[in-house]
Order: sequence, then structure tokens, then C-alpha cells
Amino acid sequence: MKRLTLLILAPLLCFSSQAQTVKNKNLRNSISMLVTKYTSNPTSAYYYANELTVPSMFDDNSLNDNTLFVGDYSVTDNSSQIEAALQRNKMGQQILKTILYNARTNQYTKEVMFERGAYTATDNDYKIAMDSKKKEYVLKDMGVWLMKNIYVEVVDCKQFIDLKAETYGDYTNEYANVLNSAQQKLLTGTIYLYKLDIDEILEDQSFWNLIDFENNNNEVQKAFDNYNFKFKKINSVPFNITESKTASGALSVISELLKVDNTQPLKTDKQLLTSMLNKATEKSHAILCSSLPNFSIGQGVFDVHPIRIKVGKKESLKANNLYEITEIVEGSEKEQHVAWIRAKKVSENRFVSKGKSTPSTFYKVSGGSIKKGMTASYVPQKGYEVSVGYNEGSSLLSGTFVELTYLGGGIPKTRVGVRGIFGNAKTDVSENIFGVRDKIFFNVSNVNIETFINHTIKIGFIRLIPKVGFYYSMGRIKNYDEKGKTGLPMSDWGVTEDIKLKSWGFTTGAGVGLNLGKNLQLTFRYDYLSPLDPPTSSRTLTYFAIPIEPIFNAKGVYGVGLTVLGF
Amino acid sequence: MKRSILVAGVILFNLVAIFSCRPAKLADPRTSTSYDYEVVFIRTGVAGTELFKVFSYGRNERECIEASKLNAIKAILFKGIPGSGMQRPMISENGAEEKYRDYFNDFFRSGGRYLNFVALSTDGSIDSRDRIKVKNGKLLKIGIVVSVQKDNLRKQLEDDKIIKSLSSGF
Repeated sequence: MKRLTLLILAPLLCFSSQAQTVKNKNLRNSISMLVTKYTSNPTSAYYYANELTVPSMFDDNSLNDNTLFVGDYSVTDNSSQIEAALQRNKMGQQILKTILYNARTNQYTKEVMFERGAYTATDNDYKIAMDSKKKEYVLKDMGVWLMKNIYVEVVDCKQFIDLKAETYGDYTNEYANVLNSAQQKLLTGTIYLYKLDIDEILEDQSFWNLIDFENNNNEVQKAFDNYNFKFKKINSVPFNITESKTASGALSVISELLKVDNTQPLKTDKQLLTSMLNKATEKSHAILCSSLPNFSIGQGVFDVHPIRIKVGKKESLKANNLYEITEIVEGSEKEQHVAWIRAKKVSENRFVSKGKSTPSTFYKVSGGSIKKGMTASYVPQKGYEVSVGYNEGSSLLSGTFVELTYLGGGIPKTRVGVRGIFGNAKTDVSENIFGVRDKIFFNVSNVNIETFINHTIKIGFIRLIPKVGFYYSMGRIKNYDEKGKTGLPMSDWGVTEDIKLKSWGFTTGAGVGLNLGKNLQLTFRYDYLSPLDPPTSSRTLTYFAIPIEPIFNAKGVYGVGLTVLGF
Repeated sequence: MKRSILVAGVILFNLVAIFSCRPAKLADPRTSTSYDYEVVFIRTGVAGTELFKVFSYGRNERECIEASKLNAIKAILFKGIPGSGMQRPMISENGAEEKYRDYFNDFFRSGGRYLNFVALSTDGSIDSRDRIKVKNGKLLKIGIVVSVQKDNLRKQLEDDKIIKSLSSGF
């Protein structure tokens, strides 16, 4: 039974460490990502601090050494120690220097900081600036605004252990072998988000005296080095990441089950930790960033034939990203929904604005007429989807089904899911077995649990969705007459009582999805099941056997379902 | 009798439907003397220009943008714009709009001379925060940044004897 449970959960196991879709709010604040280091380290993660990838919606403020020495490790809470360490290690100075350093002159200068403003400017900002007396200095002023949005993300790791059956106190049976064969590692800890708190000194203008390096004044440099820059805690999120040491955890599980030698190369600790640290930060950004102010509140529609908007790679736009079109209505507190659109061609706009960046093109998914200047806001695709439908056919997969799928970020457009089918298949066996005898029908009432992996391939407006999975079915077979009433007793067919079914095996299939709106999809599908274990029954043969159970196995079903996407 | 009542009912229903769907009434900004627009000073522009954001009303984006150019000039001439170098109106004479009605009708006509002194200061995009649907969705209010050549405008009005030269008193 445990082996069976594991098989059913296998697709979920190998996708358990998938990244979550990052909530993009068009942020372009700067971030430094640090990993904690202690006198006695619980993990070796800090070795790989420089391998962390800064998300594309942030400006990268990485330091030469992205480790943060904290002191003695506390198993309970290290947050206050981390805050003290940020100040003790002069992280404020280190970060500001990354912004102020001019590689051309090898000096710290305010001018470089201003270039950030020019980088964040839109084409409109650029044109207005060029028409003004101050010209590019107008754009550079925008850089000052960015000074108020400097963030530090501190990754504090707690455990990096083998995820073995022994962890669960179970290491003697086949289940343990299967779990151990996956060679999973577990990384736990907490991620803290801090903001460099310079609002006050920006307000009273004393900040500019601190960074006035242009005159090569040693006193200014000294005052800067001695200043106690504070950090304000914004948020914290615990993380729990598992990853397989092998290239494919699922392959290891299957190899163990099928007793096949599997000699895959194992990932090194460096590869594992780098990957797991990045997954941990990626997962946490959605929560951490939810409290940050918007850098840009939506973008205006630039053109409508075709739909074009001046966003692109700088705003982390990806093909097929969903945007909502809204408009401001006088007297209404909330913006009014107009339509849903998706990105088609993503433009490259990651360079300083020269007023002529190419807009990205979009296509309309559903909704009303889109006009120039309406607001287009990014809508992150949520992870879960639910589907209900009906499978028609004389198979264990026939019947009403409810399906829950999870869209991860690890493999694009690939979902893992679990489906419950409440079967009520009927079949006519009279012609197959009894020739001209009375018409006899059998009815299976079963519950079928299936786990699967599917992948969406987009062809125009149609989605092709192939899938593979495992199923486990249990139920009961009864016979009944033509009119749907209970027919002759089971004993007439060599059975003393109703047949109790227990069957499990693989399922394969494919669906064709039609998107009816932003969140609704109609799916037509074909599923086929191939049993690994023949159905068991409690039948007792009396005089001759009739192979009733296979009638409901190794058969396909046609189905139709309605899916609610991304809730 | 019943048939007559039915026909009358249908006609009444159609009339209500037709009148409720007609376009919103909007005064022509060229001839209107009302100040149904808002102007915000943005910054001083290059060589004798000023940059303003003008919020104007229209039935579509094109109407709003055209009205914004015209309203920017009108604001400078007759209203003045707080915070800018044009806090007081360029034409300070009371009733000048009426007195020189023919001149301004020609100046502000479609494709008129006022267009020589105003230009859009954007790349053609409308900021999503500056597009507002008003009056039950029948009108739009759009804000757009324009650049006005105030020095050239003053010179034109001086040449046309609408206003006196700044040096005339000396």
C-alpha cells in the first residue's frame, strides 16, 4: 500500500521544489542579496552567496562578497542579530558605493547614481525632459527617487540535510528504499527583507553632504565611512526547499520500483545549494515584494491596431504574460475592467531611454474595446486550477471527475495534478459472451484516484495538453438488465457476490483546450488506462468463469471538462 | 385600440432609447468662452517655451488632444497659469476675448495659427493615470503635456496689435 501511495505521489514529489510565479509589480528598485555566515555554520550555503541571481525586476546591487557575518548561531531566532550585523558590517556604505562607483573614472560620484534615473525613464519622460530647459538633468533627478528604494534580502539558512526515510522513522521496508532512491536534499531557513532607511537624511538634505566625494575631501569620506546607516525590516518568509541529488528524482523512484540499475551522476553540493538558494529566494519574492511600493503603476496602452504597450524586458515581460486593461472612471474608487490581453512579441528596452523604444505587441483574450491610454497592469498567473467534467465510456476512468492541478515555474507550462473520478461505467457483454442470449449489462461503481503531469502546447487559440499519470481504482461490479434494473443474480455468471475491484496502473491521454476567457477553459480529452495489476476480486467460482473485470480495463474514454484557471 | 396603444408604446420606447444614446453635449472649445479645462505647469522649456499638462474633455482621444493644444494657448492668453512664468494672463485687457472676437475666431479655427505656437511634448502615448472616463462614460478627460512657445506667441499678438509691446511704456 505504501509503495502504491508513493507511486501516486511520485509526480508531486519530483515537482515539489518548483518555483512559484513571481509577482511582478513593475518594480525597478535595487536589491542586494546576502547569505548569512556564523562562527559555527549550520550549512555551507554562504560559500555560494555570490551565485544568487537578482530578479530581473530589480536593479542589481550585488557586492563583491555577498556573505553577511552575523556571529554566533541561534537555533531559535537570528533576526535581531542580522539587523545588528547589517550595521556592524557597514552594509549601507557598501551598497551605496556600488551605486556611486564610476568605473570610467574609478571614483565615487553622484553623477553615476543619476544615470539610474535615466535608465528608468520612459520615452515620454525623455521627450518631456528634452523639451525642458534642464534637459537630461530632469531625467537624472529620477535617480534621487530611487535612492529611497534600496533593499537588502538576507537568506538565513538553518538546515541542509538528506531527506531520507529515516527522517520519518521508517527505514526498513520497500517504501524506505524508494524514498531513499530519490536522493532528496532539504534546505530550510528564513529570508528577511530590509530597506536602507535614508528617508530622513534625504528629507533634511544632509544625505548630499555625506556623499559629496567630488571634491576629494577626506573629511567627507570619513564622515561617510563612520555614518551609521540604518535598515528597516520590511518582511520575513520561512522557506523549505527540496531537490533531488540526481538529475531526475522521478527516474530514481521508477528505477527502484522496477528494480533497474540507475547510475545517474549526482549533483555536487555546490550545484544543489546554488539551485536551492535561488529557488528559495524566487519563491519568497512574491511574498516579500507584496509590501513594496509600485515603481510604475501600470502602463498606458500606446496603440490599439495592433495593441502595443511600451513595456518590455526591463519590466520582466514574457511572451504570453497576462495583462488586464482597465480605465479610470470619474467618481469611482476602483478602476473599471475593460479587457484581458496577453503578450505576443516582447521588445528589448533594457537600455537607457532615448525616446524611441519599441513597444511590445499584445493580443486580446477577451473583453471590450481597448482604447489608447487605458491602463495595462500585469496579472500574475496563480498556481492552482480546478476542473470538473465527465468521461464517457465503459472504463474505470468513466464517470464524473474533479481535478486539481498546480502550475509550477520549474518547467514552463507543465502542471502536476490529482484527479478523483466517481465512476459509473456500464457495458453490454451479451453479444461478446453470450451471443444470442438475453441482453446482459454490467455496471461498475468505483472511485478512481489519479495523479498526473501534463504539459500545455499552444497552437493559436487552441491548447494541446498531453499527460501521463498513475491511477488507483477501487469499486464494485454489479449486473443489471436492459431497463437499468437489477438483472439476474451474479451467481448465474459464475460469481457468488458482487465483484470487488482493486486495480492500479498507468494512464496516458491528451486534451484540447479552448480558452473561453481569462480564467475559463473548455477541454475535450481522451484518456487511456493500462493496468499494471489485474483487478482483484472476492469472487468465488461455482461452475465456469466469465472474464468480467477486463471489460473495464485497458480502455479509453472520451471526456469533456470545464477548467477554472489561476485562482 | 389595443394595437394603437402597442404602436404608441413601441414608438415611445424607441424615442427614449434614441435620446438616451445620443452623444454627450460638448461645447466647441474653439468658440467657447468657458474654462472647462485644467492646466498644470510642468517646467520651463527650451528657448522661450513653457511645458504644461492640460486636461481637456472630448468624445475620443483625438478630440481631447486637439482641445489640449488649443486650451493651453487660451489659458496663457486669458487665464494665466499658477506656478509658471505666466501667472498672469498675457492679455490683461478686460473683455479682450469679446472685443477681438473675429481675430480669435480666425486664430483658433481648425488648423489655425495657434498651432504655430504649441506642440505635443510626448511620444504620442497617453499616461494611464491621465485618462479619465466621465459623465457616464460618454466623455473622456485626458491630460497631455504640451510645449507652448510663449515668447513667439507674445510677439505675434504684439505684431497683430492685440497686446501692447512690453517696451511700449518706455
